[in-house]
Amino acid sequence: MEMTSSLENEWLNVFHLRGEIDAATAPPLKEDLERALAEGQRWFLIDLLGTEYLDSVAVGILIGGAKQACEQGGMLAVVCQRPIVVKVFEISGTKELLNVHESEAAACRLLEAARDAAAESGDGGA
Amino acid sequence: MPLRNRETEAHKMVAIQGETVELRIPYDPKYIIVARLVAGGVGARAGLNIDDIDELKVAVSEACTNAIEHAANDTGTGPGPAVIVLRFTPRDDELQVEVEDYGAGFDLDQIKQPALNEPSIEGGLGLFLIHQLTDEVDIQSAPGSGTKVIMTKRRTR
Repeated sequence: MEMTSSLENEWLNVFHLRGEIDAATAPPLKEDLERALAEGQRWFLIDLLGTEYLDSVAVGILIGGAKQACEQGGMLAVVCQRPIVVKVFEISGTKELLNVHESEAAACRLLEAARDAAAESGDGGA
Repeated sequence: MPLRNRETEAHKMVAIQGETVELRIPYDPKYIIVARLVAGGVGARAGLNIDDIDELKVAVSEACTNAIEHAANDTGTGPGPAVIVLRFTPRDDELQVEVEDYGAGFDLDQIKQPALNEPSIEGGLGLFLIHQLTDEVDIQSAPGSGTKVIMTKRRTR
């Protein structure tokens, strides 16, 4: 698995994951996600468009990240298209919790709307 | 003819059936991908389609992940050899895969109810996915005598 991450527009953490995510390759994802959350980051876009395989190990890590982001007043969203990847989210019942979208634009709109709402309610949003 | 069709024809020519392909991997997550690759290779030659193969790969990986987590960790390396044995047996219209470990084993009564009704992240999501992604699952286990997961993926046409 290859992973790159970046901070877009000083608020959105984007993780791009390529290849296969299983018990052997998932630890760096967990570490990077937890580090960003511990630094106070709370808006995450997980780009799995280049991910060919993932299983319950990755789903567990993303659920942990999504819950923590939510507790910190933020949100985590996932973008994926490969049928088996979409299917793993569907049958594990995590599509809603992880805000799984097939289009990156749709996921970004959701995150932007949530951030705007947080900012309006007087909650900085950074 | 497109390359993909030629590959399908080639798979048909070397179709395998009736005999068991066995793979032994150590208790180490880095070998799960090897189990997945063999599942894909045998699955293709056993006549499974691409979607079925992708689903089988997840189920096989989940069984290996569980074996490594529980067989290896609950009581050190468990009572038996620290290997996972996978047996792939293609039949007329299905592929049966056994994933056996010789580790700690567990009491089946304790996990069956909660794990299979709905996914839960604290243990059981892997087992839930195995049930959802294969056509038949049989789990044989007892404390101290290892675990064998037998799953069957039927061919869809």
